[in-house]
Amino acid sequence: MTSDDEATWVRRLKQGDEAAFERLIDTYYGAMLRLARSLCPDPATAEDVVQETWFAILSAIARFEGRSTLKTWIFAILTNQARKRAAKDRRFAAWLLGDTTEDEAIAGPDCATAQAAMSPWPLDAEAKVHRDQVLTIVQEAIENLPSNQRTVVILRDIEGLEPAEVCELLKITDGNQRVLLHRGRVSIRNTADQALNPNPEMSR
Amino acid sequence: MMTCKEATDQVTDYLDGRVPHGKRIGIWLHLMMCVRCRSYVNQMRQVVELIGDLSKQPLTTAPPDVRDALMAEFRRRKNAPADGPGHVEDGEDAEDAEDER
Repeated sequence: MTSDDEATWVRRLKQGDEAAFERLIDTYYGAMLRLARSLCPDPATAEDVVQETWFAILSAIARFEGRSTLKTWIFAILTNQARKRAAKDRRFAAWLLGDTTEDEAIAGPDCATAQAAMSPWPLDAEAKVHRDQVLTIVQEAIENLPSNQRTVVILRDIEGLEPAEVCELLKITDGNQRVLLHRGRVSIRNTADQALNPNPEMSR
Repeated sequence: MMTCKEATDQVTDYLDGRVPHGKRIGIWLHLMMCVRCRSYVNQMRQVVELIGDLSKQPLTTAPPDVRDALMAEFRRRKNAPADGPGHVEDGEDAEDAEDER
């Protein structure tokens, strides 16, 4: 979508155009729920946070000035809502409230190239169904990441946000963002490698 | 010569194009020499592509009751734009969201 398209969409939203709001729901509901599930300790809380985010959007859309994209603006409202919840609910991960001391260094055994698989992944040569199976593995690997790594991977690699946008949304440093993304990707790679090369004699 | 660990620790920045030119040359040279690291970087590139493919997967849509409630609230606010104090707090959150940009 071009910035002109989005500006037109926002103008229609501000004018009370119902079709524009329906489009907003269709476009962002699923992505909001995915992000909320990554931030929240259980699905019901995630749905609450999404609902609260929609009410905040309805209250504020008239004042949206387009200094960010709609998506980033919506995600920022959602992370603010999650942070408010986290302040009252200890089941939320501590990193959401600024405790990121454990994530300063990239170095770790999961980076060691000695563990890198030598067997190529048979993705290109296989049928689409095989790629779909691998995507399922990747999806599950993402869901099993620690919530801070998962959230950064979702925002960077699925939603396509820029590093600076992710840092602002999550209130983390650029170094922290890089470490979390790296650890998340490495962990997903290791899971995929185990699935694609299940025999360690062959893959390690 | 860059070690395998030094090269692979930077793979995320390398794939994101965030490695300074000098270091990038060092990684290239290492990858030319080291088949293991080359394999590893290729796999990490495939991982990023696979994760990106998830953005094309269909997502959860709003349940009909949620959708109806949101549309009803949109219409209500359109017809009565002056919200009560109960909505001010939400609006402040959203303003913060844009101020942070």
